[in-house]
Amino acid sequence: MLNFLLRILRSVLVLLGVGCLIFALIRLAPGDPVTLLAGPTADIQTVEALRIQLGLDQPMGVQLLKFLSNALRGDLGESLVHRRPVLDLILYALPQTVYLSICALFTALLVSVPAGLVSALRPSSAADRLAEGVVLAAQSVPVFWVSILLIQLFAVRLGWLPSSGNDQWAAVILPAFALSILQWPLLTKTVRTAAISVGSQDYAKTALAKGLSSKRIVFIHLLRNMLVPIVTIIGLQTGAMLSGSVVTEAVFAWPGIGTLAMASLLARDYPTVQGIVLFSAAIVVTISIVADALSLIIDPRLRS
Amino acid sequence: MSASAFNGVLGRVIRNRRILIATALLVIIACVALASKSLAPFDPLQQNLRFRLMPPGSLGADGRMFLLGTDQFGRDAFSRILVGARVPLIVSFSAALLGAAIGLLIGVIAGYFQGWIDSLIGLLIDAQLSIPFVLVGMMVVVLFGPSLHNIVLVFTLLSWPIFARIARDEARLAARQQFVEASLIGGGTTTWILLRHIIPAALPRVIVVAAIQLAYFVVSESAFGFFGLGVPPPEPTWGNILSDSRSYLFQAWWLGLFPGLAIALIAFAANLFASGLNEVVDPASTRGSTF
Repeated sequence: MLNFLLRILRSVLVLLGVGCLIFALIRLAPGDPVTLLAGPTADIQTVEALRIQLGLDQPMGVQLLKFLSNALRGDLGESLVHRRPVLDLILYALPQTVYLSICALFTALLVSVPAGLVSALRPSSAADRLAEGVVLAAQSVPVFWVSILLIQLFAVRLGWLPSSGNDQWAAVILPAFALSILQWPLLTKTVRTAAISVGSQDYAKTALAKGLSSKRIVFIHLLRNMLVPIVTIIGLQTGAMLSGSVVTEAVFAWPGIGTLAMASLLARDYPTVQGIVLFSAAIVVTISIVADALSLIIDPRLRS
Repeated sequence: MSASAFNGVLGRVIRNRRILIATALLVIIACVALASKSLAPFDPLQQNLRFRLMPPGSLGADGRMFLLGTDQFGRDAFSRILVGARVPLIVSFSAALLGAAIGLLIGVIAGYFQGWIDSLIGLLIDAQLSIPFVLVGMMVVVLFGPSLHNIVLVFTLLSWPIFARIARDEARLAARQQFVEASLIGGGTTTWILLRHIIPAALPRVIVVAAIQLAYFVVSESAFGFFGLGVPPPEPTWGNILSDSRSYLFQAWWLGLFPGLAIALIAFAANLFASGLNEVVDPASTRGSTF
Protein backbone atom coordinates (compact mmCIF):
# COMPACT_ATOMS: atom_id res chain seq x y z
CA MET A 1 0.00 0.00 0.00
CA LEU A 2 2.78 2.40 0.94
CA ASN A 3 4.46 1.56 -2.35
CA PHE A 4 1.29 2.40 -4.17
CA LEU A 5 0.96 5.79 -2.43
CA LEU A 6 4.58 6.56 -3.30
CA ARG A 7 3.80 5.63 -6.87
CA ILE A 8 0.92 8.14 -6.95
CA LEU A 9 3.08 10.85 -5.37
CA ARG A 10 5.72 10.17 -8.00
CA SER A 11 3.13 10.53 -10.77
CA VAL A 12 2.13 13.94 -9.41
CA LEU A 13 5.82 14.93 -9.54
CA VAL A 14 6.03 13.64 -13.10
CA LEU A 15 3.03 15.75 -14.09
CA LEU A 16 4.55 18.84 -12.44
CA GLY A 17 7.68 18.17 -14.48
CA VAL A 18 5.67 17.97 -17.70
CA GLY A 19 3.94 21.24 -16.74
CA CYS A 20 7.29 22.98 -16.22
CA LEU A 21 8.53 21.60 -19.56
CA ILE A 22 5.54 22.92 -21.51
CA PHE A 23 5.73 26.24 -19.65
CA ALA A 24 9.42 26.58 -20.50
CA LEU A 25 8.89 25.65 -24.17
CA ILE A 26 6.57 28.54 -24.94
CA ARG A 27 8.76 30.99 -22.99
CA LEU A 28 11.97 29.79 -24.67
CA ALA A 29 10.58 30.24 -28.17
CA PRO A 30 11.90 33.24 -30.04
CA GLY A 31 9.56 36.23 -29.85
CA ASP A 32 7.09 37.47 -27.29
CA PRO A 33 4.88 34.67 -25.88
CA VAL A 34 1.85 36.96 -25.79
CA THR A 35 2.15 37.79 -29.49
CA LEU A 36 2.54 34.07 -30.09
CA LEU A 37 -0.49 33.28 -27.95
CA ALA A 38 -2.62 36.05 -29.42
CA GLY A 39 -1.86 34.98 -32.97
CA PRO A 40 -0.51 36.95 -35.91
CA THR A 41 -3.70 38.94 -36.56
CA ALA A 42 -4.11 40.51 -33.10
CA ASP A 43 -3.64 44.30 -32.66
CA ILE A 44 -1.61 45.95 -29.90
CA GLN A 45 -4.55 46.60 -27.55
CA THR A 46 -5.61 42.95 -27.70
CA VAL A 47 -2.05 41.81 -27.10
CA GLU A 48 -1.61 44.06 -24.05
CA ALA A 49 -5.03 43.10 -22.68
CA LEU A 50 -4.15 39.44 -23.12
CA ARG A 51 -0.80 40.00 -21.42
CA ILE A 52 -2.53 41.31 -18.31
CA GLN A 53 -5.34 38.77 -18.53
CA LEU A 54 -2.81 35.92 -18.69
CA GLY A 55 -0.71 37.50 -15.96
CA LEU A 56 2.30 37.53 -18.27
CA ASP A 57 3.29 40.98 -16.97
CA GLN A 58 4.21 39.31 -13.67
CA PRO A 59 7.56 37.73 -12.74
CA MET A 60 8.37 34.33 -14.27
CA GLY A 61 8.25 32.40 -10.96
CA VAL A 62 4.80 33.76 -10.13
CA GLN A 63 3.61 32.82 -13.62
CA LEU A 64 4.89 29.27 -13.33
CA LEU A 65 3.25 28.75 -9.92
CA LYS A 66 -0.02 30.18 -11.18
CA PHE A 67 0.06 28.01 -14.30
CA LEU A 68 0.74 24.86 -12.29
CA SER A 69 -1.83 25.57 -9.58
CA ASN A 70 -4.47 26.35 -12.21
CA ALA A 71 -3.65 23.15 -14.06
CA LEU A 72 -3.85 21.13 -10.84
CA ARG A 73 -7.36 22.50 -10.30
CA GLY A 74 -8.29 21.51 -13.85
CA ASP A 75 -8.12 25.03 -15.30
CA LEU A 76 -6.11 24.65 -18.51
CA GLY A 77 -6.81 28.16 -19.80
CA GLU A 78 -8.93 29.30 -22.71
CA SER A 79 -8.66 28.45 -26.39
CA LEU A 80 -7.74 31.39 -28.60
CA VAL A 81 -9.69 30.03 -31.55
CA HIS A 82 -12.83 28.70 -29.90
CA ARG A 83 -12.91 31.20 -27.00
CA ARG A 84 -13.91 28.38 -24.66
CA PRO A 85 -12.11 26.70 -21.76
CA VAL A 86 -9.56 24.21 -23.12
CA LEU A 87 -10.77 21.53 -20.72
CA ASP A 88 -14.30 21.74 -22.19
CA LEU A 89 -12.96 21.25 -25.69
CA ILE A 90 -10.89 18.26 -24.56
CA LEU A 91 -13.72 16.64 -22.63
CA TYR A 92 -16.01 17.13 -25.63
CA ALA A 93 -13.56 15.33 -27.96
CA LEU A 94 -12.39 12.72 -25.43
CA PRO A 95 -15.17 10.12 -25.87
CA GLN A 96 -14.41 9.89 -29.59
CA THR A 97 -10.71 9.26 -28.94
CA VAL A 98 -11.46 6.70 -26.23
CA TYR A 99 -13.90 4.91 -28.54
CA LEU A 100 -11.40 4.88 -31.42
CA SER A 101 -8.57 3.70 -29.14
CA ILE A 102 -10.62 0.85 -27.72
CA CYS A 103 -11.63 -0.28 -31.21
CA ALA A 104 -7.97 -0.07 -32.28
CA LEU A 105 -6.89 -2.04 -29.22
CA PHE A 106 -9.32 -4.87 -29.97
CA THR A 107 -8.21 -4.92 -33.60
CA ALA A 108 -4.60 -5.10 -32.44
CA LEU A 109 -5.40 -7.99 -30.08
CA LEU A 110 -7.12 -9.85 -32.95
CA VAL A 111 -3.84 -9.68 -34.87
CA SER A 112 -1.29 -9.94 -32.06
CA VAL A 113 -2.67 -12.77 -29.93
CA PRO A 114 -2.74 -15.33 -32.79
CA ALA A 115 0.57 -14.04 -34.22
CA GLY A 116 2.29 -14.15 -30.83
CA LEU A 117 0.92 -17.58 -29.95
CA VAL A 118 1.91 -19.04 -33.30
CA SER A 119 5.46 -17.78 -33.09
CA ALA A 120 5.82 -19.02 -29.50
CA LEU A 121 4.26 -22.44 -29.99
CA ARG A 122 5.39 -23.25 -33.54
CA PRO A 123 8.74 -21.51 -33.94
CA SER A 124 10.23 -21.50 -37.47
CA SER A 125 6.98 -22.77 -39.02
CA ALA A 126 5.54 -21.08 -42.10
CA ALA A 127 2.90 -19.41 -39.93
CA ASP A 128 5.62 -18.08 -37.62
CA ARG A 129 7.53 -16.60 -40.58
CA LEU A 130 4.33 -14.99 -41.87
CA ALA A 131 3.53 -13.53 -38.44
CA GLU A 132 7.06 -12.19 -38.17
CA GLY A 133 6.88 -10.63 -41.62
CA VAL A 134 3.59 -8.93 -40.85
CA VAL A 135 4.95 -7.55 -37.59
CA LEU A 136 8.17 -6.26 -39.21
CA ALA A 137 6.13 -4.61 -41.95
CA ALA A 138 3.77 -3.06 -39.39
CA GLN A 139 6.75 -1.65 -37.54
CA SER A 140 8.14 -0.12 -40.72
CA VAL A 141 5.25 1.50 -42.58
CA PRO A 142 4.24 5.11 -41.95
CA VAL A 143 0.70 4.91 -40.57
CA PHE A 144 -0.46 8.11 -42.27
CA TRP A 145 0.61 6.64 -45.60
CA VAL A 146 -1.22 3.36 -44.99
CA SER A 147 -4.23 5.47 -44.04
CA ILE A 148 -4.13 7.24 -47.40
CA LEU A 149 -3.86 3.91 -49.23
CA LEU A 150 -6.75 2.49 -47.18
CA ILE A 151 -8.90 5.51 -48.03
CA GLN A 152 -7.95 5.21 -51.67
CA LEU A 153 -8.79 1.50 -51.82
CA PHE A 154 -11.81 1.05 -49.55
CA ALA A 155 -13.44 4.46 -49.75
CA VAL A 156 -12.61 5.73 -53.23
CA ARG A 157 -12.12 2.65 -55.44
CA LEU A 158 -14.42 0.12 -53.78
CA GLY A 159 -16.73 2.55 -51.98
CA TRP A 160 -17.29 0.07 -49.13
CA LEU A 161 -16.41 2.32 -46.22
CA PRO A 162 -16.65 6.05 -45.46
CA SER A 163 -13.37 7.92 -45.90
CA SER A 164 -13.63 10.33 -42.97
CA GLY A 165 -15.68 11.71 -40.11
CA ASN A 166 -17.81 9.61 -37.77
CA ASP A 167 -21.35 10.01 -39.09
CA GLN A 168 -21.83 6.30 -39.77
CA TRP A 169 -20.92 3.42 -37.48
CA ALA A 170 -18.69 1.89 -40.18
CA ALA A 171 -16.55 5.04 -40.22
CA VAL A 172 -14.57 3.72 -37.25
CA ILE A 173 -13.25 0.68 -39.15
CA LEU A 174 -10.51 2.29 -41.24
CA PRO A 175 -9.08 4.61 -38.57
CA ALA A 176 -9.22 1.86 -35.93
CA PHE A 177 -7.36 -0.52 -38.22
CA ALA A 178 -4.75 2.13 -39.09
CA LEU A 179 -4.25 3.07 -35.44
CA SER A 180 -3.99 -0.58 -34.41
CA ILE A 181 -0.99 -1.16 -36.71
CA LEU A 182 1.18 0.80 -34.28
CA GLN A 183 0.34 -1.69 -31.53
CA TRP A 184 1.01 -4.90 -33.43
CA PRO A 185 4.79 -5.22 -32.93
CA LEU A 186 5.05 -4.72 -29.19
CA LEU A 187 1.81 -6.54 -28.43
CA THR A 188 2.82 -9.56 -30.52
CA LYS A 189 6.22 -9.68 -28.86
CA THR A 190 4.57 -9.47 -25.44
CA VAL A 191 2.15 -12.28 -26.21
CA ARG A 192 5.02 -14.39 -27.54
CA THR A 193 7.29 -13.81 -24.54
CA ALA A 194 4.41 -14.42 -22.16
CA ALA A 195 3.40 -17.64 -23.92
CA ILE A 196 6.98 -18.92 -23.76
CA SER A 197 7.47 -18.09 -20.10
CA VAL A 198 4.06 -19.36 -19.04
CA GLY A 199 4.41 -22.42 -21.27
CA SER A 200 7.60 -23.50 -19.54
CA GLN A 201 5.99 -23.39 -16.07
CA ASP A 202 5.49 -26.65 -14.23
CA TYR A 203 1.70 -26.57 -14.36
CA ALA A 204 1.79 -26.34 -18.16
CA LYS A 205 4.10 -29.37 -18.27
CA THR A 206 1.80 -31.18 -15.83
CA ALA A 207 -1.20 -30.42 -18.03
CA LEU A 208 0.69 -31.72 -21.04
CA ALA A 209 1.87 -34.80 -19.13
CA LYS A 210 -1.59 -35.74 -17.96
CA GLY A 211 -2.70 -35.78 -21.58
CA LEU A 212 -4.57 -32.52 -22.11
CA SER A 213 -4.55 -31.35 -25.70
CA SER A 214 -2.28 -28.42 -26.62
CA LYS A 215 -5.34 -26.48 -27.65
CA ARG A 216 -6.96 -26.90 -24.25
CA ILE A 217 -3.75 -25.94 -22.47
CA VAL A 218 -3.37 -22.81 -24.55
CA PHE A 219 -6.93 -21.61 -24.23
CA ILE A 220 -7.66 -22.63 -20.64
CA HIS A 221 -4.29 -22.26 -18.92
CA LEU A 222 -1.94 -20.08 -20.92
CA LEU A 223 -4.14 -17.21 -22.06
CA ARG A 224 -5.37 -16.46 -18.57
CA ASN A 225 -1.89 -16.36 -17.11
CA MET A 226 -0.65 -14.20 -19.96
CA LEU A 227 -3.10 -11.44 -19.03
CA VAL A 228 -0.75 -9.69 -16.58
CA PRO A 229 2.03 -8.82 -19.05
CA ILE A 230 -0.54 -7.94 -21.71
CA VAL A 231 -2.44 -5.58 -19.42
CA THR A 232 0.83 -4.00 -18.30
CA ILE A 233 2.01 -3.41 -21.84
CA ILE A 234 -1.34 -1.93 -22.87
CA GLY A 235 -1.00 0.47 -19.95
CA LEU A 236 2.51 1.41 -21.01
CA GLN A 237 1.39 1.87 -24.61
CA THR A 238 -1.29 4.48 -23.87
CA GLY A 239 1.16 7.28 -24.55
CA ALA A 240 2.17 5.84 -27.91
CA MET A 241 -1.49 5.31 -28.71
CA LEU A 242 -2.33 8.96 -27.97
CA SER A 243 0.67 10.09 -30.00
CA GLY A 244 -0.40 7.88 -32.90
CA SER A 245 -3.98 9.06 -32.72
CA VAL A 246 -2.86 12.64 -33.44
CA VAL A 247 -1.74 11.59 -36.91
CA THR A 248 -4.42 8.97 -37.59
CA GLU A 249 -7.32 11.13 -36.43
CA ALA A 250 -6.07 14.06 -38.49
CA VAL A 251 -5.88 11.96 -41.67
CA PHE A 252 -9.38 10.51 -41.18
CA ALA A 253 -10.85 13.75 -39.78
CA TRP A 254 -12.03 11.72 -36.77
CA PRO A 255 -13.41 14.32 -34.33
CA GLY A 256 -11.29 13.33 -31.32
CA ILE A 257 -8.46 14.87 -29.32
CA GLY A 258 -5.91 14.15 -32.07
CA THR A 259 -7.77 16.19 -34.65
CA LEU A 260 -8.35 18.94 -32.08
CA ALA A 261 -4.62 18.94 -31.30
CA MET A 262 -3.55 19.05 -34.93
CA ALA A 263 -6.05 21.77 -35.85
CA SER A 264 -5.03 23.86 -32.81
CA LEU A 265 -1.38 23.38 -33.65
CA LEU A 266 -1.79 24.50 -37.24
CA ALA A 267 -3.93 27.47 -36.08
CA ARG A 268 -1.21 28.41 -33.54
CA ASP A 269 -3.71 27.95 -30.70
CA TYR A 270 -0.99 27.30 -28.08
CA PRO A 271 -3.15 27.24 -24.94
CA THR A 272 -5.16 24.38 -26.43
CA VAL A 273 -2.07 22.44 -27.55
CA GLN A 274 -0.44 22.98 -24.16
CA GLY A 275 -3.61 21.83 -22.42
CA ILE A 276 -3.85 18.70 -24.56
CA VAL A 277 -0.22 17.79 -23.84
CA LEU A 278 -0.78 18.15 -20.09
CA PHE A 279 -4.05 16.25 -20.25
CA SER A 280 -2.48 13.42 -22.29
CA ALA A 281 0.38 13.15 -19.80
CA ALA A 282 -2.16 12.97 -16.97
CA ILE A 283 -4.02 10.18 -18.77
CA VAL A 284 -0.81 8.26 -19.43
CA VAL A 285 0.32 8.29 -15.79
CA THR A 286 -3.19 7.52 -14.55
CA ILE A 287 -3.59 4.55 -16.86
CA SER A 288 -0.20 3.20 -15.90
CA ILE A 289 -1.27 3.32 -12.24
CA VAL A 290 -4.58 1.65 -13.12
CA ALA A 291 -2.72 -1.03 -15.12
CA ASP A 292 -0.55 -1.71 -12.08
CA ALA A 293 -3.62 -1.96 -9.88
CA LEU A 294 -5.26 -4.30 -12.40
CA SER A 295 -2.18 -6.54 -12.40
CA LEU A 296 -2.51 -6.81 -8.64
CA ILE A 297 -6.13 -7.85 -9.03
CA ILE A 298 -5.43 -10.38 -11.78
CA ASP A 299 -2.40 -11.92 -10.08
CA PRO A 300 -2.66 -11.98 -6.26
CA ARG A 301 0.95 -13.21 -6.03
CA LEU A 302 2.15 -9.72 -6.95
CA ARG A 303 0.50 -8.18 -3.90
CA SER A 304 3.15 -9.12 -1.35
CA MET B 1 41.46 -8.64 -34.26
CA SER B 2 42.21 -12.07 -32.85
CA ALA B 3 40.62 -15.23 -34.19
CA SER B 4 38.77 -15.87 -30.93
CA ALA B 5 36.97 -12.53 -31.19
CA PHE B 6 35.56 -13.64 -34.54
CA ASN B 7 34.15 -16.73 -32.92
CA GLY B 8 32.63 -14.58 -30.19
CA VAL B 9 30.02 -11.86 -30.39
CA LEU B 10 31.53 -10.16 -33.42
CA GLY B 11 31.58 -13.42 -35.35
CA ARG B 12 27.94 -14.04 -34.54
CA VAL B 13 27.13 -10.50 -35.67
CA ILE B 14 28.92 -11.00 -38.99
CA ARG B 15 27.39 -14.40 -39.60
CA ASN B 16 23.84 -13.25 -38.80
CA ARG B 17 21.92 -13.17 -42.06
CA ARG B 18 19.47 -10.46 -41.01
CA ILE B 19 22.23 -8.11 -39.93
CA LEU B 20 24.06 -8.77 -43.20
CA ILE B 21 21.05 -8.04 -45.41
CA ALA B 22 19.98 -5.02 -43.32
CA THR B 23 23.48 -3.52 -43.28
CA ALA B 24 23.82 -3.97 -47.04
CA LEU B 25 20.44 -2.31 -47.59
CA LEU B 26 21.23 0.61 -45.30
CA VAL B 27 24.67 1.18 -46.83
CA ILE B 28 23.26 1.12 -50.38
CA ILE B 29 20.42 3.50 -49.45
CA ALA B 30 22.82 5.86 -47.67
CA CYS B 31 25.19 5.90 -50.66
CA VAL B 32 22.34 6.51 -53.09
CA ALA B 33 21.05 9.35 -50.92
CA LEU B 34 24.51 10.92 -50.65
CA ALA B 35 25.03 10.78 -54.41
CA SER B 36 21.38 11.50 -55.22
CA LYS B 37 22.04 14.91 -56.81
CA SER B 38 24.28 13.35 -59.47
CA LEU B 39 22.32 10.07 -59.76
CA ALA B 40 18.95 11.75 -60.41
CA PRO B 41 18.12 11.60 -64.15
CA PHE B 42 16.30 14.96 -63.99
CA ASP B 43 16.64 18.14 -61.95
CA PRO B 44 14.14 17.48 -59.12
CA LEU B 45 13.06 21.15 -59.15
CA GLN B 46 12.76 21.53 -62.94
CA GLN B 47 9.10 22.21 -63.76
CA ASN B 48 7.62 21.30 -67.12
CA LEU B 49 3.93 22.10 -67.37
CA ARG B 50 3.56 20.26 -70.68
CA PHE B 51 4.26 17.01 -68.87
CA ARG B 52 2.04 17.30 -65.79
CA LEU B 53 0.89 14.15 -63.92
CA MET B 54 2.36 11.71 -66.44
CA PRO B 55 2.09 8.03 -65.37
CA PRO B 56 5.24 5.95 -64.70
CA GLY B 57 7.18 5.02 -67.83
CA SER B 58 6.05 8.03 -69.88
CA LEU B 59 8.57 9.64 -72.22
CA GLY B 60 9.53 13.31 -72.02
CA ALA B 61 10.13 15.75 -74.90
CA ASP B 62 13.74 14.60 -75.40
CA GLY B 63 12.79 10.93 -75.29
CA ARG B 64 14.03 10.38 -71.72
CA MET B 65 11.75 8.27 -69.55
CA PHE B 66 9.97 9.48 -66.39
CA LEU B 67 10.58 6.22 -64.55
CA LEU B 68 7.99 6.87 -61.82
CA GLY B 69 5.96 9.50 -63.66
CA THR B 70 5.72 13.22 -62.99
CA ASP B 71 3.97 15.39 -60.40
CA GLN B 72 1.53 18.29 -60.68
CA PHE B 73 4.28 20.61 -61.94
CA GLY B 74 5.73 18.11 -64.39
CA ARG B 75 8.73 17.39 -62.13
CA ASP B 76 10.25 13.90 -62.39
CA ALA B 77 8.91 11.84 -59.46
CA PHE B 78 11.85 9.41 -59.42
CA SER B 79 14.44 12.20 -59.15
CA ARG B 80 12.42 13.83 -56.39
CA ILE B 81 12.28 10.58 -54.42
CA LEU B 82 16.06 10.13 -54.79
CA VAL B 83 16.90 13.65 -53.69
CA GLY B 84 14.06 13.59 -51.16
CA ALA B 85 15.93 10.82 -49.29
CA ARG B 86 18.55 13.25 -48.03
CA VAL B 87 16.59 15.14 -45.38
CA PRO B 88 14.92 12.11 -43.74
CA LEU B 89 18.22 10.20 -43.70
CA ILE B 90 20.27 13.09 -42.30
CA VAL B 91 17.62 13.78 -39.65
CA SER B 92 17.20 10.13 -38.65
CA PHE B 93 20.86 9.15 -38.51
CA SER B 94 21.93 12.29 -36.63
CA ALA B 95 19.06 12.14 -34.17
CA ALA B 96 19.50 8.41 -33.49
CA LEU B 97 23.25 8.88 -32.97
CA LEU B 98 22.91 11.97 -30.75
CA GLY B 99 19.97 10.56 -28.79
CA ALA B 100 21.80 7.28 -28.22
CA ALA B 101 25.00 9.05 -27.09
CA ILE B 102 23.20 11.37 -24.65
CA GLY B 103 20.88 8.65 -23.39
CA LEU B 104 23.75 6.19 -22.93
CA LEU B 105 25.78 8.67 -20.91
CA ILE B 106 22.89 9.78 -18.67
CA GLY B 107 21.56 6.24 -18.27
CA VAL B 108 24.94 4.80 -17.37
CA ILE B 109 25.54 7.54 -14.80
CA ALA B 110 22.13 6.92 -13.23
CA GLY B 111 22.52 3.14 -13.22
CA TYR B 112 26.08 3.09 -11.90
CA PHE B 113 25.91 5.73 -9.18
CA GLN B 114 22.25 5.14 -8.18
CA GLY B 115 21.05 7.10 -5.12
CA TRP B 116 19.48 10.55 -5.55
CA ILE B 117 20.93 11.12 -9.01
CA ASP B 118 19.26 7.92 -10.21
CA SER B 119 15.90 8.98 -8.70
CA LEU B 120 16.12 12.38 -10.33
CA ILE B 121 17.01 11.00 -13.76
CA GLY B 122 14.32 8.33 -13.37
CA LEU B 123 11.74 11.03 -12.70
CA LEU B 124 12.90 13.00 -15.74
CA ILE B 125 12.68 9.89 -17.91
CA ASP B 126 9.15 9.14 -16.69
CA ALA B 127 8.06 12.73 -17.27
CA GLN B 128 9.35 12.76 -20.82
CA LEU B 129 7.97 9.36 -21.71
CA SER B 130 4.50 10.36 -20.53
CA ILE B 131 4.17 13.21 -23.05
CA PRO B 132 2.93 12.48 -26.57
CA PHE B 133 6.08 12.56 -28.72
CA VAL B 134 4.49 13.61 -32.02
CA LEU B 135 2.41 16.41 -30.56
CA VAL B 136 5.18 18.01 -28.51
CA GLY B 137 7.63 17.56 -31.37
CA MET B 138 5.31 19.32 -33.76
CA MET B 139 4.66 22.07 -31.22
CA VAL B 140 8.39 22.71 -30.88
CA VAL B 141 8.75 22.84 -34.67
CA VAL B 142 5.89 25.34 -34.92
CA LEU B 143 7.41 27.48 -32.14
CA PHE B 144 11.05 27.38 -33.21
CA GLY B 145 10.73 26.96 -36.98
CA PRO B 146 11.02 23.92 -39.25
CA SER B 147 14.75 24.00 -40.01
CA LEU B 148 16.84 20.85 -40.44
CA HIS B 149 18.77 21.30 -37.20
CA ASN B 150 15.63 22.14 -35.21
CA ILE B 151 14.05 18.87 -36.30
CA VAL B 152 17.21 16.92 -35.40
CA LEU B 153 17.24 18.68 -32.04
CA VAL B 154 13.58 17.86 -31.38
CA PHE B 155 14.02 14.17 -32.18
CA THR B 156 17.17 14.00 -30.07
CA LEU B 157 15.68 15.72 -27.05
CA LEU B 158 12.51 13.67 -27.18
CA SER B 159 14.23 10.32 -27.61
CA TRP B 160 17.13 10.34 -25.13
CA PRO B 161 14.93 8.99 -22.29
CA ILE B 162 14.22 5.84 -24.32
CA PHE B 163 17.96 5.17 -24.58
CA ALA B 164 18.62 6.26 -21.01
CA ARG B 165 16.08 3.81 -19.62
CA ILE B 166 17.74 0.84 -21.36
CA ALA B 167 21.27 2.00 -20.52
CA ARG B 168 20.28 2.51 -16.89
CA ASP B 169 18.95 -1.04 -16.54
CA GLU B 170 22.03 -2.52 -18.21
CA ALA B 171 24.42 -0.38 -16.13
CA ARG B 172 22.64 -1.41 -12.95
CA LEU B 173 23.14 -5.09 -13.82
CA ALA B 174 26.75 -4.59 -14.88
CA ALA B 175 27.64 -2.63 -11.74
CA ARG B 176 26.87 -5.72 -9.63
CA GLN B 177 29.22 -7.97 -11.61
CA GLN B 178 32.37 -9.30 -10.02
CA PHE B 179 34.68 -7.95 -12.70
CA VAL B 180 33.63 -4.43 -11.72
CA GLU B 181 34.41 -5.20 -8.09
CA ALA B 182 37.74 -6.68 -9.15
CA SER B 183 38.53 -3.60 -11.18
CA LEU B 184 37.73 -1.39 -8.16
CA ILE B 185 39.99 -3.43 -5.89
CA GLY B 186 42.70 -3.32 -8.54
CA GLY B 187 42.62 0.47 -8.33
CA GLY B 188 40.48 1.23 -11.35
CA THR B 189 39.14 4.79 -11.33
CA THR B 190 35.44 5.50 -11.82
CA THR B 191 36.06 6.87 -15.32
CA TRP B 192 38.00 3.73 -16.23
CA ILE B 193 35.28 1.42 -14.93
CA LEU B 194 32.57 3.35 -16.76
CA LEU B 195 34.49 3.41 -20.02
CA ARG B 196 35.97 -0.08 -19.86
CA HIS B 197 33.17 -2.09 -18.24
CA ILE B 198 29.82 -0.36 -17.86
CA ILE B 199 29.42 1.40 -21.22
CA PRO B 200 30.49 -1.67 -23.25
CA ALA B 201 27.97 -3.75 -21.30
CA ALA B 202 25.16 -1.31 -22.05
CA LEU B 203 26.15 -0.63 -25.67
CA PRO B 204 24.64 -3.65 -27.52
CA ARG B 205 21.11 -3.01 -26.31
CA VAL B 206 21.46 0.71 -26.89
CA ILE B 207 22.40 -0.05 -30.51
CA VAL B 208 19.34 -2.30 -30.89
CA VAL B 209 17.16 0.55 -29.64
CA ALA B 210 19.00 3.04 -31.87
CA ALA B 211 18.13 0.97 -34.95
CA ILE B 212 14.47 0.82 -33.91
CA GLN B 213 14.48 4.57 -33.25
CA LEU B 214 16.11 5.18 -36.64
CA ALA B 215 13.13 3.48 -38.30
CA TYR B 216 10.74 5.46 -36.11
CA PHE B 217 12.50 8.74 -36.97
CA VAL B 218 12.31 8.15 -40.73
CA VAL B 219 8.58 7.53 -40.37
CA SER B 220 8.07 10.47 -37.97
CA GLU B 221 10.06 12.91 -40.08
CA SER B 222 7.85 12.09 -43.04
CA ALA B 223 4.75 12.54 -40.86
CA PHE B 224 6.03 16.00 -39.86
CA GLY B 225 6.58 16.82 -43.55
CA PHE B 226 3.18 15.41 -44.45
CA PHE B 227 1.48 17.91 -42.14
CA GLY B 228 3.60 20.78 -43.42
CA LEU B 229 5.88 20.81 -40.36
CA GLY B 230 9.04 19.39 -41.92
CA VAL B 231 11.85 21.03 -43.86
CA PRO B 232 9.86 23.30 -46.20
CA PRO B 233 9.75 23.15 -50.03
CA PRO B 234 11.39 23.64 -52.51
CA GLU B 235 13.72 21.08 -50.84
CA PRO B 236 11.96 17.79 -51.65
CA THR B 237 11.45 15.42 -48.72
CA TRP B 238 9.38 12.24 -48.70
CA GLY B 239 7.01 13.92 -46.27
CA ASN B 240 6.28 16.98 -48.40
CA ILE B 241 6.08 14.89 -51.59
CA LEU B 242 3.42 12.75 -49.89
CA SER B 243 1.69 15.88 -48.64
CA ASP B 244 1.48 17.25 -52.22
CA SER B 245 0.31 13.89 -53.54
CA ARG B 246 -2.77 14.03 -51.35
CA SER B 247 -4.53 16.48 -53.67
CA TYR B 248 -3.97 14.15 -56.63
CA LEU B 249 -5.04 10.85 -55.04
CA PHE B 250 -7.57 10.18 -57.77
CA GLN B 251 -5.57 11.16 -60.84
CA ALA B 252 -2.05 10.15 -59.85
CA TRP B 253 -1.75 7.10 -57.56
CA TRP B 254 2.00 6.85 -58.30
CA LEU B 255 2.76 10.09 -56.49
CA GLY B 256 1.57 8.70 -53.15
CA LEU B 257 2.70 5.11 -53.49
CA PHE B 258 6.44 5.24 -54.14
CA PRO B 259 7.66 7.72 -51.50
CA GLY B 260 5.78 5.66 -48.91
CA LEU B 261 7.46 2.49 -50.13
CA ALA B 262 10.85 4.22 -49.86
CA ILE B 263 10.13 5.18 -46.24
CA ALA B 264 8.97 1.66 -45.47
CA LEU B 265 12.10 0.15 -47.06
CA ILE B 266 14.50 2.13 -44.86
CA ALA B 267 12.44 1.54 -41.75
CA PHE B 268 12.29 -2.16 -42.63
CA ALA B 269 16.07 -2.36 -43.04
CA ALA B 270 16.64 -0.66 -39.69
CA ASN B 271 14.11 -2.90 -37.93
CA LEU B 272 15.64 -5.99 -39.52
CA PHE B 273 19.05 -4.88 -38.24
CA ALA B 274 17.58 -4.44 -34.75
CA SER B 275 15.95 -7.86 -34.76
CA GLY B 276 19.14 -9.53 -36.02
CA LEU B 277 21.28 -7.83 -33.40
CA ASN B 278 18.74 -8.71 -30.75
CA GLU B 279 19.09 -12.36 -31.76
CA VAL B 280 22.84 -12.14 -31.17
CA VAL B 281 22.71 -10.11 -27.97
CA ASP B 282 19.87 -12.01 -26.37
CA PRO B 283 19.56 -15.50 -27.89
CA ALA B 284 17.24 -16.62 -25.08
CA SER B 285 14.51 -14.22 -26.19
CA THR B 286 14.32 -15.79 -29.63
CA ARG B 287 13.94 -19.44 -28.71
CA GLY B 288 10.50 -20.99 -28.85
CA SER B 289 8.37 -22.74 -26.26
CA THR B 290 8.63 -26.39 -25.30
CA PHE B 291 5.33 -27.40 -26.88
